[in-house]
Amino acid sequence: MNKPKPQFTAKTVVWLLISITIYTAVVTAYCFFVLLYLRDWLKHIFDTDKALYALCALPLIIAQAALLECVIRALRKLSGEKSK
Amino acid sequence: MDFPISGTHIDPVLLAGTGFLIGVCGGFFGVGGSFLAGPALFFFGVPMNFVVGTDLAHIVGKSLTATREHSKLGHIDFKLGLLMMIGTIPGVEAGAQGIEYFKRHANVNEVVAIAFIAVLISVAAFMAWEGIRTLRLTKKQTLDKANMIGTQSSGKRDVSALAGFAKRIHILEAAPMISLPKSGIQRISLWTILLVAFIGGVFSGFLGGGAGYIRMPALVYILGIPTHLAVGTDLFEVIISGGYGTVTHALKGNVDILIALVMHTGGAIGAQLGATMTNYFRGPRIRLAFVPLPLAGAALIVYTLISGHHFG
Repeated sequence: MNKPKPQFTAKTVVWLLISITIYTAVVTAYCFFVLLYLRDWLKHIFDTDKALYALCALPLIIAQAALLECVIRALRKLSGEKSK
Repeated sequence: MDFPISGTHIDPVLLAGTGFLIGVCGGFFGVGGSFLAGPALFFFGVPMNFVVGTDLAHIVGKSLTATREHSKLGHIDFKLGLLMMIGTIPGVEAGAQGIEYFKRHANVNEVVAIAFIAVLISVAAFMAWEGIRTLRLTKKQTLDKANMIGTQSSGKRDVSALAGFAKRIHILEAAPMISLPKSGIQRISLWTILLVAFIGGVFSGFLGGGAGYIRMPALVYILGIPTHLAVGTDLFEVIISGGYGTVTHALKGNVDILIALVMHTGGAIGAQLGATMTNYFRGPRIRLAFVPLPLAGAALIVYTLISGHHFG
């Protein structure tokens, strides 16, 4: 059975663009305050303790994935509500 | 922005933008996007051993998001994905050991780059041939039951000019034989699945990424999995191969996790968009649309190797 395709209105597009703008702002702030802060520490453990570095690398990317998905879901919910 | 772990300097906006494009491709085609991510990172000046490990880390995060979307759409055969893990992990380790060998005995940049080019061109050529042939068969309405992948019980049917080849694979008797009801496969040898997974793992560990450009075609043409299920199952399996690959390459000093984190900020939203788009296209069209991408990746590597120029 074919699922009905979503309808794209001007309101949908506007809220999509707003969501992308908010996401970009959140990610930029995250990069400045988190990644730059972590940079020197990660370099230090990379040089001194590869095992610890490996133990930290995977959880970091998984944690970021979980965090960003929460942000994206919140934005999708917001834009879905506002574009109706 | 400086990335001191790999000793590179890359514009983070460019990196995140590249991650976004790769995320869209990954979510749509069910591949991690390493056919673009690897060449792009090499083009940005990242040494190839770091390209391999960093790309593995990057796709773990992206694939988690895309897998969730595909899971909601019912596009994942979890039984198949978990069985493939048994073959994938040894394959990834074998590939990672290959990288270590070339780091010690040869120019790892050139070796991996040449391997990348060969693989990408081969994959593009094969996907183009199969996609065009299948679309022609569909248009001429000469497609019969023999060209359908998947059975009615799976609820997902697809067309492929090579469906007959997959059916011949299914009748190979090599115990243990298992069934994959979700994918509409009544009987298939476990060894076939493990071999496909192992080979995919070797590519993943040696060239980085999830090797979806190998694994997804193998799922469709060798195992006979319908394309929509192959997309989601491949993404699920990438989490496993990418996760193990990240750890083993990090132990070997081949992962710049900061680059992976920045790329992923763009990839996270791109993957969601790409996954949703698969609802609008049939299997052969998805496979045909994939063709230019590995060629673009190959072209980027050739340019970087020949010119010696890095962007940034």
